[in-house]
Amino acid sequence: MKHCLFYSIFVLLIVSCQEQSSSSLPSDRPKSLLVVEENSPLVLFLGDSLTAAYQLSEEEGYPFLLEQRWLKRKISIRVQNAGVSADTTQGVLSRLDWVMGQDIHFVFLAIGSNDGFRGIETAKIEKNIEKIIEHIQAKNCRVVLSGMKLPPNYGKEYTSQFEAIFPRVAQKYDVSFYPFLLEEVAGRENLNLSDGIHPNAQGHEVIASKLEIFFQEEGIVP
Amino acid sequence: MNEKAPILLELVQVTKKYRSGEEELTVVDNLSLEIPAGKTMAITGPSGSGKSTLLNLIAGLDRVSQGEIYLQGVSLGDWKDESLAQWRRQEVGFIFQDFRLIESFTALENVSLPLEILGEKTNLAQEKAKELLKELGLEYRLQHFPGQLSGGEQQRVAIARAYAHHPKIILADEPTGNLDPHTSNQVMKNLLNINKTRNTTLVVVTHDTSVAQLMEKIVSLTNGRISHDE
Amino acid sequence: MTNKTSKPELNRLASRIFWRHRGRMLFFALCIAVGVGCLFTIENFLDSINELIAGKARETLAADVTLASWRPFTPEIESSLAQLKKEGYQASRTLAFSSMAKPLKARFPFLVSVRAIEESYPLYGNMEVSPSDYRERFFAGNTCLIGQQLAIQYKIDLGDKIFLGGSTLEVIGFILKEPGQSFRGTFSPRIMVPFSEVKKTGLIQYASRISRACLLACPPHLQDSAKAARELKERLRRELSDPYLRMASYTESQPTVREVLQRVSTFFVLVSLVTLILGIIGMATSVTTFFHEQLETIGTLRCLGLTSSHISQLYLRLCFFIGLLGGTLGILIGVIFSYTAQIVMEQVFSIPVPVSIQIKNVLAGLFFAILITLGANYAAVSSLAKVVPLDILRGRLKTFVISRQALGITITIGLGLLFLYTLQSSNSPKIAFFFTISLVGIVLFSLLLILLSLRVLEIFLRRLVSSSFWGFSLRHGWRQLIRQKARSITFFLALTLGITLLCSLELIEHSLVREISVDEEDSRPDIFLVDVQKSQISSVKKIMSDYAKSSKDFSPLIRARLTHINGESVKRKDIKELSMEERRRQRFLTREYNLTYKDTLNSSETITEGKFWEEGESRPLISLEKRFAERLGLSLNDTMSFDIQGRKLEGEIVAIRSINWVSMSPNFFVIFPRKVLEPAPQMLITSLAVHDSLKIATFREELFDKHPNIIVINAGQILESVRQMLTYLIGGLKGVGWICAAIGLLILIGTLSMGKVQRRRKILLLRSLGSSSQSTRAIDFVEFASIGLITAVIVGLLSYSWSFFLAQQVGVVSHDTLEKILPYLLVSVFLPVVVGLFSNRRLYREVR
Repeated sequence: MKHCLFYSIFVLLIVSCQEQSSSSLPSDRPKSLLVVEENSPLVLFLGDSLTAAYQLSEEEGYPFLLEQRWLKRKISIRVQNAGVSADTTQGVLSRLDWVMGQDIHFVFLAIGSNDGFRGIETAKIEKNIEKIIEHIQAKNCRVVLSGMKLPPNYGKEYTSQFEAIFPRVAQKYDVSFYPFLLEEVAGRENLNLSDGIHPNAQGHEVIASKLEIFFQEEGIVP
Repeated sequence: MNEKAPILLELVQVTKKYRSGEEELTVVDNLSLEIPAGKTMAITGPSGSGKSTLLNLIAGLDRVSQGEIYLQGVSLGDWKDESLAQWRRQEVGFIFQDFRLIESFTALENVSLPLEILGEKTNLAQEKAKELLKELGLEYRLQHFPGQLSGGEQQRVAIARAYAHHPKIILADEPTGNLDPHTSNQVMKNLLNINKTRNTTLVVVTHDTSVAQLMEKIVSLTNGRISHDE
Repeated sequence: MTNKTSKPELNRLASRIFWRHRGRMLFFALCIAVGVGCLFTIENFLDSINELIAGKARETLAADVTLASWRPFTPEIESSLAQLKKEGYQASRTLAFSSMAKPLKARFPFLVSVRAIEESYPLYGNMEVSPSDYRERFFAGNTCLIGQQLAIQYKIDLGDKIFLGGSTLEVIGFILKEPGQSFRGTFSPRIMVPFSEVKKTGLIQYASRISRACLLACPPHLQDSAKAARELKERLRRELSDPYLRMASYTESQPTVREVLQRVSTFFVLVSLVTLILGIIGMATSVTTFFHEQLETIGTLRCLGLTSSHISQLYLRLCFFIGLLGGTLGILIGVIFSYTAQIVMEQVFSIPVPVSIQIKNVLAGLFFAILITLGANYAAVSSLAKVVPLDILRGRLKTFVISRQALGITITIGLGLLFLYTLQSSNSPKIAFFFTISLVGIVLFSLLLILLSLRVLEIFLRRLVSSSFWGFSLRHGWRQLIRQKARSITFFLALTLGITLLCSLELIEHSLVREISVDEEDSRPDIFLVDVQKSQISSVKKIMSDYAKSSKDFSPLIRARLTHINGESVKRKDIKELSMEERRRQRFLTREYNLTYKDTLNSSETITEGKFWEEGESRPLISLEKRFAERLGLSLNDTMSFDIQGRKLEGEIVAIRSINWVSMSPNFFVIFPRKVLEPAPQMLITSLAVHDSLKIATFREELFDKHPNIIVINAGQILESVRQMLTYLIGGLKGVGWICAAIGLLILIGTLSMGKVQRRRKILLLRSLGSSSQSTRAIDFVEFASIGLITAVIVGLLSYSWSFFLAQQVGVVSHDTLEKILPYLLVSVFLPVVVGLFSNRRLYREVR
């Protein structure tokens, strides 16, 4: 979870600005990366910093890694990363029109942890997620919902109420449900950044491999 | 006047020229003169006749263009500025027309100045200066500044200063020029008195004949040459 | 006779001249003393301020060095800590995490930020808790302290029970103020629990997100605490390999304040240098005047047998005495100034500034003053010594000309020293260079203007034939100025430079103060709102209007990824192929960017290249922050493409901005026009000023109720401490500026009243030629008024050009220049007349 404060922005950026820059720009995409055909079906990954690959480049995030994995199996699916760091269910609701303006095959929705980190009443979180799903479904688009969990320091009562939101909503709207986005990643030191909650590049690899199997098993992607 | 005395200074065919733009001005022209030790001498002549220049040459403040000045047989021309300055501070006493006392020093300090310049301790120097000033009747003026003294008093302080370090020669440039006749007489009386007790050579430059008459020898200058020698 | 070697008693002679002119010597010495005093106390004063701020920073961190990690400390860290303890370092552990708490009475749990502390906490600074005798009970267990906000918001009383994890804790105190706060910890209300208690809550387990910290304090016997802290951090960095460990030392915290301090320090030093230079000018010109008056004495002394080297030794001795007196007075002024500053700082700003007078500084002050006096007058003395005594005796010489060679050498060495000193104290070759250069420029420029003015006067004078009273006075007044050209020039130079320096000082101080000035309390934000959604703006505005004394505009923040620069992809190569440097750059290019849109600039932004767009622009144009653009190697007309959650946006760079990062308004690296980015998904940030605990609590409650996603940050306490530090600096700044201005004027007045002897002679002459007392006064009036007018014109021109130059080179922008310097221009017109006529009033009377 991160907060965009004026001050931390200036201060951090002043510091980062003091590093010297190198002169050459990197050349175009390396050959080892596969390129998706332009007219392939589009999958939208809608979420927060976990999806946006916080502090990493987009190519290290699990959505792009998934695209690569599918390409290796000759499945051409375009992946659109619509993760925004620090976003909440409320934020997703207000940007749905922007991100849903395209022809989308299905939406992978992984949102809610920032709501939890902010201690928002679980009923309110649940209502927002429901609205998001209704909105997407109204566009005749399929939704895959990912479950979220909170670290144990939020207390048993709140964390269990929070975790219960996701399967309940999935069932209510009959959408595919992926139990926990950070399965086998959360809490593991070697798979997370120093902040302890955002996956590092290896963490994203694990998420991608788990998701690949999930999509295959659910029959969403061959 | 024919009494034989040892010669203190001897000027041999001294010429002094000044350059003023394109023109060369001869102020002292091939002049020879002997100044005997312990005698008094007046140098007279009209303005611009070279009296003051002659005095400055003797003092070592200026150098001759040609000729030699011998001090007890030694040529001043061979001396460096430093030696000339030393000659002035040890052996020459000056008396000026406009007194040239240091305004910010008291009478006593002005008089003890030559002694101090010679490295005498202040209290000793002032002791001697006090004596001199007393001799000149200025014992009540010791702590006065020149600005607080009359012209005659200032010139008497200047006389005391000139004699303070027992110089061999006193050079007085129009010593009465700024004084009224009465004071002038008084001052000359003082000067000759003190000179007599110290037996010092005294050269007075003046155009005042009454002053010149008081000297043992009178040299008259016209256009840089001696026109009359008595 | 030549065997009688003797050494003139020059010391005695010099001391006698010194004593007999003691009034003026005192003035010469004061000229120097003021500058030296300023310079040497300012260093002491700055050290104190620096220490004060460091102390504040240390209280804010509550430690000299902190270690923190989101992971449990490794055995390596633990063993290092054990070793430090053995060496006398103090350590205090804390745990911090977010959790949900629920008071017995409340229906819903709410978010709190928990901090567990040991008895030794805090190592620096104070916890303010009501009631204040909480410690014994608190550390006995089953207890907690809660933030005042929390108590108000949830109506919690002392003795109430709160559920936190598996524990039930009794509230035994309210936290009014705690050290070690950061923005991270301020957005949810605080609960503090004893370190021993926290494990019982059951909240600390596998996968819990806990920030573990160890605060360290250096042993008290290490005198230089900043050095000790830096060394401790260095040592830990060497010893510990855990890459996840974060280390901070108090010496690095508060970067904003530090940047301001650096600039203000430079300013302080420049101010004192200006004072010193003013003093040197004042002294050198008045000493030269004094030397002119000494010519007769010198003639006499030469006749009495002093050589020219004796003369220079004599007058150098005199300068030495002046310097010695100046240094002594300078130190005295310094001590008085230090203690005055101490009292003012303590009474007015409640800032304790310790005064320490070090023998090292005293000696340096003396040495410096003597060196300056000798140096500044060396040229005059050496020219004085070369004067031919005959010329003086014959009355041919009324003035002497300072040898150009000696003057040149003095000035060159002086400038070199000035440059080195400025360099040493500002640590910036740029500032040092431009300070020195602009000084030279000003001198040359003013010399040119002075010569020009004198020439114009001369031409006028030739045409002036009127024989009326004023015609006569004008003719003679101007003739006085032109006749003694060398003296007039020195005089003009001293006056113009002095007043110009004062003007520039005013301009720089004014803009510096404005640059770092902190808003009035009512407009100073203490509450920050983050993650406001567009749809919530009107509702949030309405709530804000009920509570805020003032509020700032909403700034949109749009998340995007940079995809192309000039059509070339910035996508990552295989990371293994990249060097560390390339990797860092790659990270910089490919991270998430925060874009914003707006059509007008803040007051803290200045366009340095290109042109910012007009209101209503709809083309995709970009304005970049200067340093950001430099880092990416981008300039005008380059293009950047962004991916905003699936939509591409390519824009052309049309303007480069420099931002004053010290100002407290939100700033962004990349700006687009409003119309271009307005439809993009965005969150907004804003700030408001409430300044009332009760109101903040209810505001928070109401906002949380309607818009729970919005993060409310109460930065009142942190901003207050930053503001306080800045206030210290500005307070000091103004004080020094005023003192300097007052001193400068005094020196100028002193310089003006110099040269009485010559004036007296001239008045005597005029009167003896039959002019009336009235007309001699009128002549002097003309002279002084002309000096004043010409000075005012030159000063006006110089100040304008210098402030423009400074704005260009040092980034100190000054507006409303005329308004600021007008008083100085008026002073330069009237000062010479008033001071001149006043200081000569006795002469007019005397000669009547």
